[in-house]
Amino acid sequence: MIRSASLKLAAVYGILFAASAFALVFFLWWATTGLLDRQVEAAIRADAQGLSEQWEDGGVPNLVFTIKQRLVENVDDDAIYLLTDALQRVIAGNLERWPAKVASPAVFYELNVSRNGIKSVAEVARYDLPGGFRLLVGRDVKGSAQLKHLLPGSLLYTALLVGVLALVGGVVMRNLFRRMVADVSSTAAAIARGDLQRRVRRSGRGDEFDDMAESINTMLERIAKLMDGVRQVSNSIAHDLRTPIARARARLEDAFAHAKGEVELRAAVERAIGDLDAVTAVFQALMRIAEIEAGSRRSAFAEMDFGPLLADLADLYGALAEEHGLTLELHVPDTLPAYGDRDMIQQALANLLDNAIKFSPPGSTVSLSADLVDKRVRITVADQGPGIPEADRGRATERFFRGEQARSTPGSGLGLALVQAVAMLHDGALVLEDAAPGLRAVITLPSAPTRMEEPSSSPHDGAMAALPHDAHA
Amino acid sequence: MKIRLISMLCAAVPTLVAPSTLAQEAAAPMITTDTLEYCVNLQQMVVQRGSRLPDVKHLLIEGKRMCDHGEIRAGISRLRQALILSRHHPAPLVIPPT
Repeated sequence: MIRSASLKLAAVYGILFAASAFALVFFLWWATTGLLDRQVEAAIRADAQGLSEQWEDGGVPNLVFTIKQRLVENVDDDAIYLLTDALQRVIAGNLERWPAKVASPAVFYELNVSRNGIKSVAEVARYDLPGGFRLLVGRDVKGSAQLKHLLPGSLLYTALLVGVLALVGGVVMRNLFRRMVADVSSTAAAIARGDLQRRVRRSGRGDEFDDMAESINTMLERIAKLMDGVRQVSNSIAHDLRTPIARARARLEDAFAHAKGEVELRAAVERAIGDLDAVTAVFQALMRIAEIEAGSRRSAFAEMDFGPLLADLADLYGALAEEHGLTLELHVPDTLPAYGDRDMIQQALANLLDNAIKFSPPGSTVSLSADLVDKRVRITVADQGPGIPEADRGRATERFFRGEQARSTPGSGLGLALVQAVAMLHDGALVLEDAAPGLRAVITLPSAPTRMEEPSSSPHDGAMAALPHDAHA
Repeated sequence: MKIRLISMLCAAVPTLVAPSTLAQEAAAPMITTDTLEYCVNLQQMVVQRGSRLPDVKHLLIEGKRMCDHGEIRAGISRLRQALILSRHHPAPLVIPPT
């Protein structure tokens, strides 16, 4: 119960509400009573100031006349004056005698007085005049005193009311909070039970809880997709690796049972080693993709020039294209500044060129081109092969995906997945398009942010003849 | 002299004493302007100043009536209002018989 977040929220709400209300009420009480006191004191000071001026102008007679006049015109019926001589005899005023407690001239006194037989309260001050005369000036403050005494009682009732309101508000807040998180909680519980299709319901109000529901649903979609990917990769690994491992086992078993000599035995072992090397290569490719996706290679990023890199690749794969009877065309500027991991990009482009050469019919053309578009480097590898049907293009970059056209061609189905991973690591993208005929793979990467020169206007243009070549693994 | 006295009055800014000592005082001093005698004095002053204003006349009658019925402070308040109103109207006023 104590750990309940909704209860804590309700308690915090109640405490904050009550504290705020109490602070406000206390401030009102303090300001009201303080204002009343200050007003009375200011009135007494001003009154005394005026009387002292009358004393200066005309002495005792003038002061007596003024006191009587002020009493006559005191419509508010709150003025109190008393003027006594050096022998404490009353000369003027409306107080019957000098109160004993009003002894000091530097103090405001709260004084009980009798008004027509009824007890009242006054605030008075003493002012000493030359010649032993003493002046008392005061105000009847019974009204404000009653108000001051009423306020604490009112505050007590207010406190009770605020307490009740805080309690009710806390309960309302608690229920509101519980209702808001209930769907999230039930969705999480359903997913924990294995119902991965369950999603948090949106209220449609577009508030923060809708935003949270959307974020949670997006996260769940992502998790579901990743789990699907893991499941698919696991299945693919089991399926794709079973064959070479089973083949290797069969060869070793056959050699063990039927080999007629060391030469046959050694040959069988060598073939099995080749099969197992292929398995190892698949694992290495998977690990490489995982490494790239983890982003751990970003430290190797540096400014680089695509111009020479692409020219070198064209030289390397030109020979391979020739072996397949293909023509490799190159359209690349002399310099093309970029920023990234040279080895990784080289491997990605090699995969694309390898695929293009592998799937192109003899006599066709493979083109490698690059240019700068909107401060991004766009590298295109196009072939005139069978291409990838539109329905399969979205899945072509998934691990182990192999289209119908590729089933008869050697390969692991990891090449485009690696290219995609490299492109994403560089904040770029891989797009597969229909080259009609063939496939056009376009990698877009950010260009170098600094100093490197703009692309040259004299690109490497060239074409390399290719000779027929056997399909390679 | 005048400046010195005013300075003395202003410098002696009083601070409020807590009412705890009030109980020690035996009897509260009386306010002498809450008496019937003062009410009669005020009536005479209103008459002496004189005013033909109906409001003054009304307040005088009202104040006198209230004082006669023991509502001294309320009656005095009416008479004070009458005095203020009649300050600038010195014409003689005939008091109606009561």
